[in-house]
Amino acid sequence: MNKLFECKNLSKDFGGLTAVNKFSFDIEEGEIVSLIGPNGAGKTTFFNLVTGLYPPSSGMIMFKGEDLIGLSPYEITQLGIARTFQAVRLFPDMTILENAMVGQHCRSKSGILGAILRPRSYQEEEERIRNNAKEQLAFFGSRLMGFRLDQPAASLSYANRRRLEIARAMSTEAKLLLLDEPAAGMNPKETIEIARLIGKLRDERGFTILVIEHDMRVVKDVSDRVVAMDYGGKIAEGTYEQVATDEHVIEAYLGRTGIEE
Amino acid sequence: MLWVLRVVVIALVIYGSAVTLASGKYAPSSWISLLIAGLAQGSIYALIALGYSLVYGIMLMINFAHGEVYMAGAFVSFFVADALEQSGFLQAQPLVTIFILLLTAMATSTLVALILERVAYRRLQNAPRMISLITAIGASFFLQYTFRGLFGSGFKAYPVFGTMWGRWTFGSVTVQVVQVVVAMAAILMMGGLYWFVEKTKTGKSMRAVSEDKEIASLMGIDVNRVIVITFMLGGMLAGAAGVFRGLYQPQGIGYNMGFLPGLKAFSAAVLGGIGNIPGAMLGGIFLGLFESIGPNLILQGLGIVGANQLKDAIAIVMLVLVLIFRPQGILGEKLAEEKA
Amino acid sequence: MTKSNIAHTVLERKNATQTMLIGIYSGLVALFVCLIGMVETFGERDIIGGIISMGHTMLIIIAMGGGAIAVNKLREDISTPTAKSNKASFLIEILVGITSGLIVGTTLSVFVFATALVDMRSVLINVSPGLLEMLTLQKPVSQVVMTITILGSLLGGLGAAIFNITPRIRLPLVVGLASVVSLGMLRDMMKIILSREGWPSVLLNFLVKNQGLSITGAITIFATTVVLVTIWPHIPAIYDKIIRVVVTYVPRTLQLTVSIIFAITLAMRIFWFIAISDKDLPVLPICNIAAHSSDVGEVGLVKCINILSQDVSTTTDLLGANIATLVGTIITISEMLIGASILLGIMFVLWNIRQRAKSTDTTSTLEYPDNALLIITKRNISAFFGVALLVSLPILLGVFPSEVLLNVGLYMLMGFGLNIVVGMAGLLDLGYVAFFAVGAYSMAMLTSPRASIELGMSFWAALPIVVLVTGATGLLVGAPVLRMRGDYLAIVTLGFGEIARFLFLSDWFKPWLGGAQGILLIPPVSIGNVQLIGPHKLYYVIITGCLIALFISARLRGSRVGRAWMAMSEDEQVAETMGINTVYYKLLAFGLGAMIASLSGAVFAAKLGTIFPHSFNVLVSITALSLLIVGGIGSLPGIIVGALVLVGLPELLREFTEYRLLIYGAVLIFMMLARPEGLIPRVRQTRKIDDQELNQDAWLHNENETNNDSSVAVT
Repeated sequence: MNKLFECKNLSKDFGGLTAVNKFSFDIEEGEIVSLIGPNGAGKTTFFNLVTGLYPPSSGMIMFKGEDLIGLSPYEITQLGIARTFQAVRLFPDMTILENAMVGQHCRSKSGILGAILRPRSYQEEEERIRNNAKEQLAFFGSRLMGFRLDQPAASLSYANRRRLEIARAMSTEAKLLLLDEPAAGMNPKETIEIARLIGKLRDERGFTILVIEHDMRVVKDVSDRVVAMDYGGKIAEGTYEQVATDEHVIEAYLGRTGIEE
Repeated sequence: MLWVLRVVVIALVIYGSAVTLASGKYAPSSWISLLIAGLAQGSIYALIALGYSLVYGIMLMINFAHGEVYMAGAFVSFFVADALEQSGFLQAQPLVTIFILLLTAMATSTLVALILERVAYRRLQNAPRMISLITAIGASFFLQYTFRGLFGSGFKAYPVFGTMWGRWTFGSVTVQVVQVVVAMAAILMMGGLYWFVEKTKTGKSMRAVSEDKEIASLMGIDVNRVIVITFMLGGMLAGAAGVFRGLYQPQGIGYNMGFLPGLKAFSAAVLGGIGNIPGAMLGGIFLGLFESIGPNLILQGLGIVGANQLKDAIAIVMLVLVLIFRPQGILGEKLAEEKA
Repeated sequence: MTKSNIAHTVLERKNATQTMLIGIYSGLVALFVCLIGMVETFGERDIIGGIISMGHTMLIIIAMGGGAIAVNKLREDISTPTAKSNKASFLIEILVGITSGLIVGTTLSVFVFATALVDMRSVLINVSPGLLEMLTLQKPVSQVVMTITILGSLLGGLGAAIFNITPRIRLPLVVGLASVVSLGMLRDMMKIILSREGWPSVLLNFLVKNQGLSITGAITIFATTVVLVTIWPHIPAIYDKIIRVVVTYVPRTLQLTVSIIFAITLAMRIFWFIAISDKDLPVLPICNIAAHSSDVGEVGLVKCINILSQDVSTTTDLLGANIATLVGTIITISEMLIGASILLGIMFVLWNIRQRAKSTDTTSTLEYPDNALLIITKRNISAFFGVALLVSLPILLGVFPSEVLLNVGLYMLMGFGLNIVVGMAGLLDLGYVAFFAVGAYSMAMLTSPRASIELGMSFWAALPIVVLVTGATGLLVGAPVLRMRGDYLAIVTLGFGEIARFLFLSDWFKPWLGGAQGILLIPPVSIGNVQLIGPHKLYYVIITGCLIALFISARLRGSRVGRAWMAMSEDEQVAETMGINTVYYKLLAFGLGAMIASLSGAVFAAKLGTIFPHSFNVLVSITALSLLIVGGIGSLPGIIVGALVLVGLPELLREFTEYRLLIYGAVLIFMMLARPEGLIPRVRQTRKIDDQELNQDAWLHNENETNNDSSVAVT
């Protein structure tokens, strides 16, 4: 078995509330998997567990054959998992280029002495970081390039912030990207564009992608496989058509519409 | 890593206490005296701590200048006390005098707290925490040196109330009247505050604002008014604490008398769980006890010379330990996650 | 008709109330500065001798400021264009100013009246007869009450009137007055500096009286400033022109030669200053010759060397008189060479221009060198003169001003260290004094022969150990606070700072640290067998430290480490998920910050020779924090300016020391409310493209636009 990512019986309790409940699933290299489910189903908590922001209550997470439990977030990023956030979280006062350069942190190593004395190796590494960051930003066309490189991230539009956040995740040279609602708050045109981009991320850049998404058009367009969650557990898994017609999924969405919105 | 530290701390406390107790240096009655003294001191801390906790609960900011609110009450009431003593009124009517002093001090402290709120903090309601904290630090020093400029840098001494310095003896235990009075009065006030917050309509809107400012304002609560009332309450308690301090420790009324007690009361508020009213009371009293007993019990047992000099350091060490091991405090900070 | 319209708009109740309120606030401020004793204390210092004191100036500024603010508010409120009609609105604005000033004046006169009636001194210690005398100008109270009121309203009106002058005149006027006031305040310092040998004594007699400035001095300063402010905008162009001409016409070899000789002279002068004697050489180079060649019959150079070697042979015993003579000769010769070279340069320029005029080729314009060379030259020149000025400051200013500079330097160094912790890593450390103290104490213990361990090391041998020990302390303090939230971290570090002081004071550590008596007999810094005693010599140590810290800070900021810190300070959690080990970087910041503070502490110990626990209180931390905030958190030039203003000014004016923390507190509040990014912000936020950005957010995009977008077009 050559699974890139695997988790088994993953659970997380907050006091009395079980946010993730015995959740098991896996991702193979090169797949694009969508994670869907109603609000409060535990999707974002699952991301937080995978990236090490919360310790799980029980269960195991394996990535590239290594156990992630007990590792710090930065160690997990170093192993090759990077994420974006549902409410975009950039470094607002840093420039766009710097935001992307931060992603390269775990792939570079010059320390304090290097920074002060600036030997050749430092300069080369800094040049590499800069070029890499520009390369990732160029992925999104001209929007994040040119004069914008030196603008603070706070000056960007909402959609461009989302793009920059993906670029920042890309520049960690991760194997697995976790995208938390990349199309949230975007207009229909931008949504279509994001769906194409996710495909491109896999096809051209070789990322394996796990995406949380509410927009079913995006889910339909991009997913090789869809996993549906409710009450912290998996209720359905398969292709988009299989999951979309699954009665548990329909019940999870429709049965609770009265409460949800 | 953390548990190693935890074990070391507990071991040191136990070892120190055991050595002291085994040495039999202090009789049981002296422990009780220390306890009562700690209770009196602790209830003063508790009164100040409540001010930190109330403001934190509502505005999520550390009102670093609260120690100076307390100082203002103590300072101004000193002048009234001094005048009353010179006119002979104090000797004739000690209880009425204390009542007048309490009124003056509470009024002064409330005034200072309200000015602080109006001039400095109101515009910072949605500012980052760091900005409001730095403002509060600035306000703290501004107030200290304003009082120094107005009233001079010398230390004053509260007049001594004859009746207060009597002693009551129960068997082998002797306590000072003032200790009992201060502790009782403070506890009474805290009870009043608790009643106010839990039972009255204003109290309810305070709690609503502390849960969620936006929702509360949508529900028709005037958030600014609630904040003003919070500062008023904090100011009144701090003013009372100032008078009690004067009664209990007449010496050393000066412009910088609020700094250390402020720091300690903040520690007490954190110890009890900041934002939590009973927590601040418990935290204050616990800190007072710990400060009074701790050096003699633990530090002396560890063979530290001049243990009582380190009394002031104890509160801070405790603050650090609480924040490391139980950041939510004894009674827990409500909604710790969201407020973090 | 329009006039009454305007009157109607202006005299709306809201505006009237506002004017009153501003008047009342200004009155309260005036009362406040009287009550806390500032007016009286400052009253003892004359700005212009016998005419006006600093205390009076303060009250005048408050009254005028009130008027100006009232008018400003009024203008903000009235947006109707008709109200801009000149004459009437001018009158109304003056009226508003007068009203505000009237309230200030009334407040003060009521206060004067009350003070004369009731003795408030037993409570308000600063309400003294001296204050009353100052306010009444030693006249009977009944006479002056009216005068004060009227004066107040006049000043308020004047403040309002200044608002109505065109900015082209207003700016030089205000700056001119401000410079008279500030130089008047710094009169003592001016006197000390100008009395040193080498400054023309005419200047001193002309500018300064026994008390304050002379009237002629004040006028001169005002006029000079006005001229300077007026030509200021043209200076960059003039400078540019000069540099162009020099680069074009003066041969490069000559440029280089002058710089090298200049550098040698400077080095020799510093050597003379530190190692030989701090007073025997005139300050200004030209005076070297002028001072010594006045005697008839002797050539300046020879005379000069003679005098030098005579003086030296009697004053110095550290280095032989031969060395002194040698150095003195080098200085004199090289300074003459500089003069000659400059003359030569000017001749070159003139000659070239003449040549050009002769050649009747009208088509040829000046052949300027390319811009890159120009920019580099300009940068080199500024750097050269910057460093030259920096190193020659103690020589130019003398001992006492150097003391001020030394203290500024100590705090500036701390500021750079604290900036790493607060400005770069975003950890608000309020107990920074602890590291300064550890630095000072460890230096004292390692070097003082009286210290318990009796090592008696030299400053330089001890310094690496001090830095390492303090760095380790930084880690020790950093470790328990790693997981704490920002505001808790601030209070806990404050607590640590206090604990440090308690421990230094305690009997527990007395055998090692000396308790309240501290540690005595710390030897001064020495280089070779030259001891750097006195602030003017120690200055070079602290300035080296500051430059190193500045260099480190500047280098770190743009680096991988700096980015990690910045990311961490903006969003710790995200930084961690982006692969930054925040624990490591927090400890790194604490450790490095502590190391830099220890340098400052070490120099502090060597400077005083004795250290007490009481020197290391929370006020040190607050000062360091304030200077950081005033300059702008994270801004390196901001630290320099912050240290000069917040530490330098109070050192220069002894009256300020009493109110130092009052002012710091007010400054902190004011900066946080009005300008949280500081005077010299780190990043100038560019917001001008916002509209363009927002357009991309628009829900309905033009089809053509999106087709041009490459990222979509590719797929």
